[in-house]
Amino acid sequence: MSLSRGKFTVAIGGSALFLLAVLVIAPLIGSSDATLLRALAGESPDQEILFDVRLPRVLLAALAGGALALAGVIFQALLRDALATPYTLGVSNGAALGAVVAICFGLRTIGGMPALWICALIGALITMWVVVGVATEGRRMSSFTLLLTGVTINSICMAVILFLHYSAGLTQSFAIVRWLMGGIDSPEPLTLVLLSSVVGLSFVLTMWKANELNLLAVGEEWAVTRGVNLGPLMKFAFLLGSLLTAVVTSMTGPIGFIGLLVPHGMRLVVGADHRVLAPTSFFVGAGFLALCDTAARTVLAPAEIPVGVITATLGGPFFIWLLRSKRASVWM
Amino acid sequence: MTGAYSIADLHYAYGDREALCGLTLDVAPGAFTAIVGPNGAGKSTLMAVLAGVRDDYSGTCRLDGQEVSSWNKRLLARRAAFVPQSLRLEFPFTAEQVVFMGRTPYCDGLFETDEDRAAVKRAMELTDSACFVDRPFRALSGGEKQRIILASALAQEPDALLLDEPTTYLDLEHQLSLYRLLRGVAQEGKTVVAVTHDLNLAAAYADRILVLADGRLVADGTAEAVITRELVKEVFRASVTVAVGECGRPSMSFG
Repeated sequence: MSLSRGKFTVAIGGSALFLLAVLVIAPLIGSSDATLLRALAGESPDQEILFDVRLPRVLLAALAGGALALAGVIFQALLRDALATPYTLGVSNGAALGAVVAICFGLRTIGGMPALWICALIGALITMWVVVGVATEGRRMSSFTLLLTGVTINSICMAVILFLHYSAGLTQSFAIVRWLMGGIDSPEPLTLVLLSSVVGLSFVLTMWKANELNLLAVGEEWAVTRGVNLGPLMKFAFLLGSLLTAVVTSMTGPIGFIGLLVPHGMRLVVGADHRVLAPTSFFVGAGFLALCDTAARTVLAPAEIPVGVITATLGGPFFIWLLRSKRASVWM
Repeated sequence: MTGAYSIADLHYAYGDREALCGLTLDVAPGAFTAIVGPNGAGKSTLMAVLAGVRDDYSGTCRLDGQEVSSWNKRLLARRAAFVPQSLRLEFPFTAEQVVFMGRTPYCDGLFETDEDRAAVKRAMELTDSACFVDRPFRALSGGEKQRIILASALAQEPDALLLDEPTTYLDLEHQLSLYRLLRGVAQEGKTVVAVTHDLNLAAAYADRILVLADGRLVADGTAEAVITRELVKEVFRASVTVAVGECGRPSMSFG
């Protein structure tokens, strides 16, 4: 929509540069004083700390933050609901239920991968399948039914989680609470590769459909009369947002704030056009979560603060400032 | 000539309630057709079928020889454009962005072409809305929004322009200029169909008036033939006096 290549490049370039800066700086910050020079010279333990522990963790945080922000953008457009988050449509509680089942049954690994991730992913995929099945009538899909189905599935999963939590022993109970708070660990390189390919592909697919997401964000009738095949687009948006949420949540647990407020923050800065909104939200969400996770592991080191605590306490006041200073340009 | 509708035995039902009960009519390009009728007559449903929004109708509704339900949506959107009654936006799109959305059926890449920009500029000038290009759509008044929505439909460069009560939020000046604009679009050889409750404006500007009641066509013809005291009494249950104005068109007065 009257998007010039110049404006597009500045917005994308600026947000990508922010992410790049975070990716370079965040691994250098930490509780032990490892330095880049010694790490590059191959000295131990600096090399291991920087390249095997911190860098993978920073990368995971960035991928998770970007994916959550992108999923938030997609769900807000799909449901035309400013309060939609990646967790609105049931997928995250499905993942949580899977993880809680793994904890309660003491599963450690499945096929060499952590059982927590596998079970969480399976839980998320099952809820996706149920929600899309209930909300689809023939070729049509109603965003209203989708929303109510998602919220209902969320409640059902939560009820089962509460029951399992109630019947669990003390150690399991602690593990459940810790998982539900969300957090980021250093992943294996293979995990990072798999995650980044899913997230990267989703990013490309979102950009491919960005024009149609604009129409969907306005209205269903509006989209149909401007050439959109509504049923397939809605299903596509639901599956894309859910898949992003599923892969991230199964590895990190639920992390709040990013999926709801990064898209809104970016709308205040770059506007509502999804061609700019989606990529800038992705890059800023990625950089923001990587920053927050750096704070989470350093502020009270050697103890770790749940990263969800940091995202809301750091991001909340900033968002309110942005809202107050930009409100006029959005409404008038 | 493209933009011609051919409708035969058209039915549409919401569950058990039939909104359209066997309509048969043709709409030819080059004329401005107004659809009038009491609330619940099926006017908006008919527009939604013509626009391809409700494509689960039964019977026949062809646009240029092809069933509306089997048109590729993107190609249909280049052929027929729909102007809804109003638009409530959840997100802060600007007025110009809303108009540019009309170009989506032509858009292949991420960016608009010069052709798109020219079409949008023309559409905004025609609807007298070029002055609020950068304003957020949500901050516009009802009438300004209506003009932006119309501009977005004109930017689609359609052969058939379908409007659902387009004058609801417009002041008198813009009501008249909208009707003049619609008549002009029709004179260029395009199909214009508008649902309206304003019988006087319809009588003054439309080439043809369709009267719907209870999902059926009860009258079809020129304003002189259709807008009569008897018909208004029968269909709208209102007593009016119909006089012929200076331009030879009928006009109603009340009381």
